[in-house]
Amino acid sequence: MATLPKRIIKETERLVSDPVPGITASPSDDNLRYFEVTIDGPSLSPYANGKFQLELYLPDEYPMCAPKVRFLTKIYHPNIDKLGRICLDVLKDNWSPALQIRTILLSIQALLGAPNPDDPLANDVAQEWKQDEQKAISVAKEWTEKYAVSKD
Amino acid sequence: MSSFSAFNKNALDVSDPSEWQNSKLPNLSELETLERCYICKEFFKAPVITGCNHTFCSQCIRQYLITNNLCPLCKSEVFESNLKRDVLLEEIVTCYARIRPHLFKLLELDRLEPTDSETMEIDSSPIIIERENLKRPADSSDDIIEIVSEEEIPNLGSISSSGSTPDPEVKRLKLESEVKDDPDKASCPVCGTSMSISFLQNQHIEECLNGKVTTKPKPSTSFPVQLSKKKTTSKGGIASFFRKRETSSSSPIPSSSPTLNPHESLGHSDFYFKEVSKHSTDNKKLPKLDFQSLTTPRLKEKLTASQIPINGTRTQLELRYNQYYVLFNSNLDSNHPVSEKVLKQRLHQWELSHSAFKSPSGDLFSSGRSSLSHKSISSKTFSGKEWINAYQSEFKELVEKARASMMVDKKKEVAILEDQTGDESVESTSNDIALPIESKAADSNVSVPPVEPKEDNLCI
Repeated sequence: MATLPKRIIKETERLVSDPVPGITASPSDDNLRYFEVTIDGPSLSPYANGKFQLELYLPDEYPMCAPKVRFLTKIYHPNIDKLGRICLDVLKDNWSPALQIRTILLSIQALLGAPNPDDPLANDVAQEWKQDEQKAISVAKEWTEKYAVSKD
Repeated sequence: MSSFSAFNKNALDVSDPSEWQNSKLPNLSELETLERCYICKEFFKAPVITGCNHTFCSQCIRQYLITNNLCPLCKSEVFESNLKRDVLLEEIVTCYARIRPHLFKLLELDRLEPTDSETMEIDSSPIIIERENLKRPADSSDDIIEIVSEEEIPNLGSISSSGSTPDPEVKRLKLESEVKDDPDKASCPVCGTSMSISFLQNQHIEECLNGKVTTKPKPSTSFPVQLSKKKTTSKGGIASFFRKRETSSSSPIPSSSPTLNPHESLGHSDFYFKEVSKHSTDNKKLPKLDFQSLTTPRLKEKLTASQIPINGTRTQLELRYNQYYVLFNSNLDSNHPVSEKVLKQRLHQWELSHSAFKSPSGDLFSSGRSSLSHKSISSKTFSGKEWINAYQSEFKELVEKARASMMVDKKKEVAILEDQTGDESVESTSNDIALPIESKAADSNVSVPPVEPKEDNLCI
């Protein structure tokens, strides 16, 4: 017997009925706490044109603790490591129950537009990013082209 | 997909301040946002005020303070012992929440434009009715919504709203009367004069209610609104305007809905002004436990003292105590507390929906396996490959178990539905909830939840 807090139902309803531009999130059929998410790369970033897949899980304690979010698509970004884990303050210490799935996904989209190599999660990427930003950006573009642009 | 459509039906019960954006009084969304808890986004239940003067549901903030000590709103330090209940606010909010569906009908339906009004009326009125009827049972059962399978939904409807399904006859009558109406004209509910709707709405009604002799209506067609054509003789001011619509035969409110009579007291002011003895705060709250200094037998003693179950692992015991502690103490902050028996049922219901209580394999990651424990995922040196290798067989096993148990559950549901009819099958699910925890633990081998494999995926 699955029970779901009202707040999650309400958030899901809004995500589906009134989606954020460039972001989709739909709950899994067999677990309404698990979402399949896609985020479009911001247009003025090296991730433009890419469609990045993520997964999002709402732990039992949600909204007392942050949702767990992870990139499934490979991405070259100083704050996202090769397992797809994301270094973002609002997902860790700065989580507040006032935030919601929608705002978290927007923050992640903003992180794609503004990589922060000074607070790295993927040390190697951050290093390259600091040493030669132009080259790093071109690698990021390359990866986006390779992994995040659908070729139908 | 099936679970999602069931989800949609349940979602009817969920109201949101943004709904007022399409009403005649969009500012109500601001009022309503203020009447809702910042944490759970629902109307305040047993609101309490913090040392930094911010208000939350007692349960929400107490739950939050178990793991945090900063105010969710302003991030200043909050002490649980400083929380003060807000008797008046709770009455205001519950009063508003009871009036809301009626207010919504009055302010939303009027807004519809005549061109779509026939179809819109028919589409929207049953939805609102359902919403209103579903509201009641949900209010009484904490703020957890059960996701019932699609087949059970009609039954759910039938228990909660016996006899209040929208009467097709009423709807048809309403439709006819509207078709006959000139869409651009309406009669003033106060003086009965017929005039263009926008004029009536923008200018005339205010003047009429203030007793001014009205200016002549100018012909205008912009922004028409549906109003009852019925002539009224009463001149009772704004109250009669509402009463007229409420009781008229073509009212969108079905006669069966247990409506509130605008003149009848809802009891909220009585509670505030007369039952002052119930406003005190000297009730004994449960103490917060420092689990680290407690041995498991001592912890079990504490649980026994509160008469809550003592089975399960140490983690489960701690989670259970904390949840009961939150439920119990927030219940004391409520103006209308429930009995401890109800609290224990809620505790049990909570366990059913919490993954830590789902199955023995639920503790797999929290206990033992020090080398690859759950916490290590968040460390930077974590090796994904190692993790996959170590757990691959278990992942597969879990996925298969979950699939099997889903099949079993589905079969059970079908069997129940075939055996029983209507209300009985709903009853059987509620009996489920009341089952003692022991029996749940006994059959937990069977019910490996589909949650686990997903969560694992996330961790890889």
